[in-house]
Amino acid sequence: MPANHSMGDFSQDAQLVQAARGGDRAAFGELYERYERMVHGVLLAHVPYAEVDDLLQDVFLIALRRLESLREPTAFAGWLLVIARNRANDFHRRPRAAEELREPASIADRDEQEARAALAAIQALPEAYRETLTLRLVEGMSGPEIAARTGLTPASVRVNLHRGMKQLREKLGKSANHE
Amino acid sequence: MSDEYLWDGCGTPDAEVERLEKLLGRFRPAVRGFEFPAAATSPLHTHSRRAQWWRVAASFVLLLGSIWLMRALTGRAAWTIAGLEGSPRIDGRAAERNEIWKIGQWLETDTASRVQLHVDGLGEIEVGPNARLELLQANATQQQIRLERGTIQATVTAPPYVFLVRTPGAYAMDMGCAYTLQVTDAGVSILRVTVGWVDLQHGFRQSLVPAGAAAESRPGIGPGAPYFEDSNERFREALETLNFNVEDSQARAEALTILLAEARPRDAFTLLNLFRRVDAEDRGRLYDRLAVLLPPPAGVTRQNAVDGDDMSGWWDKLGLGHAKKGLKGPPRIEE
Repeated sequence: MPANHSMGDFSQDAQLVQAARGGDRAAFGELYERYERMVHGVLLAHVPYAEVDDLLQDVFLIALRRLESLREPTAFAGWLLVIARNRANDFHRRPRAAEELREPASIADRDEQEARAALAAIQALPEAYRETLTLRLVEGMSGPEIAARTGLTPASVRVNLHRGMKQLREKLGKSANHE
Repeated sequence: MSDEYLWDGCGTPDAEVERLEKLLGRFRPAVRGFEFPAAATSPLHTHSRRAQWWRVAASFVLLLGSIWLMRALTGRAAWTIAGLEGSPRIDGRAAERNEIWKIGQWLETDTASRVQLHVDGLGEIEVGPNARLELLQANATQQQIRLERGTIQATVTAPPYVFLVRTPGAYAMDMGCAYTLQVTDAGVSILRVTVGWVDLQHGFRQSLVPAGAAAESRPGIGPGAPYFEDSNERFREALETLNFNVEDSQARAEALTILLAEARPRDAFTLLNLFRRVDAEDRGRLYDRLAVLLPPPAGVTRQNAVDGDDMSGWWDKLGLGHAKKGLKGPPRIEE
């Protein structure tokens, strides 16, 4: 995948948005496929894993219903990010029963324990690093792909990955030393 | 350690990154494909007529409740037309002095019109000729307008992040300041800050713009790195290429050469902003020029710059101060 093709991607988005506005389900389905991992990663950077699938569906449902209000079809990716972050913020504002917030009591699988600890360490990083690292390590997107989907320059993504990974190594190193 | 594997999965695998990929891959979405609402006949018409009536009724009750609650809790935060020249219009009819500009209404000026808006506790907005803007939100905790075209001058006394202007290229969030914001017919916005700071954001891109500086934003890309307007023309042209020509690496490399040659000590501010927008090799070139213009603080090395490490020590040396941070942080942006 070429490193810099975000503008081309955004003009394709605009065509898909126009088609979806005209009632083309397949076009909206394609927008979903293009951005599912990005939205999933951004949500996962902010909310518990168990909540992400429901919120993912919510974000695209809202986007579908409000597509007509999107004034700049080329800005679809940025607009979708705003919806995703707002849903994540809403989740934290919503009052919940105490048991909803509790982590599973005990996890026998050691890999599962490690995975949850690593995810928690990522979720504790500054926002820019947290989201970029989630997209790279969880969603399996490459740096160039993250740049193309988010509109960030490849250089910014590289910096976020580098700094985020550095902080993540420190956090994981510290927690390993405490065990 | 090389970051190539972390960057695109190529090169020698980094053992820790590989381990984390395997561990964390289990959190990927389980089911692919969007589930369209069952009753949908088209993506934009997804409810039965009866359900829509219920939704309209429920929305109406909710709206009444919200208005009552907003007035009870926050008091009125109305946008009043404090002054006007020529024949500005609201939703197509003539606007009047002392009229309240309401949420959802479009305010337009022609070539000979101007409007002064006032909000208690927020400040003043002067709307210039040929402008078109919509009021999106108006309460004591959040004021939000959409500027589709034209120029506004804002003098804001509200706490940081209460006042937000949405343009086609970025969200301009006030951090206690005065500024001019212009949107061209092509949707390009130009921000010029005269007092305080403005936070420009779009997607993952962000630029903090201090007094005396300007920044441009473009639809689909977002805000570029800010600059001082007294920088020379060649410097600004090169910066435009680096900010917005994200596809042509040859043009970007040539632009960086010009920008570095033309940079003055005062332009160190722009160079620092570019660290997050160029690749590792170019970060080394930025460091070399910056070190001449403004000697690096102790402990900040060329390798730190190339690696993309934090440059905040250098920011402190610029002497620009820091933006005020609001207690509540960036607002919930209107979708």
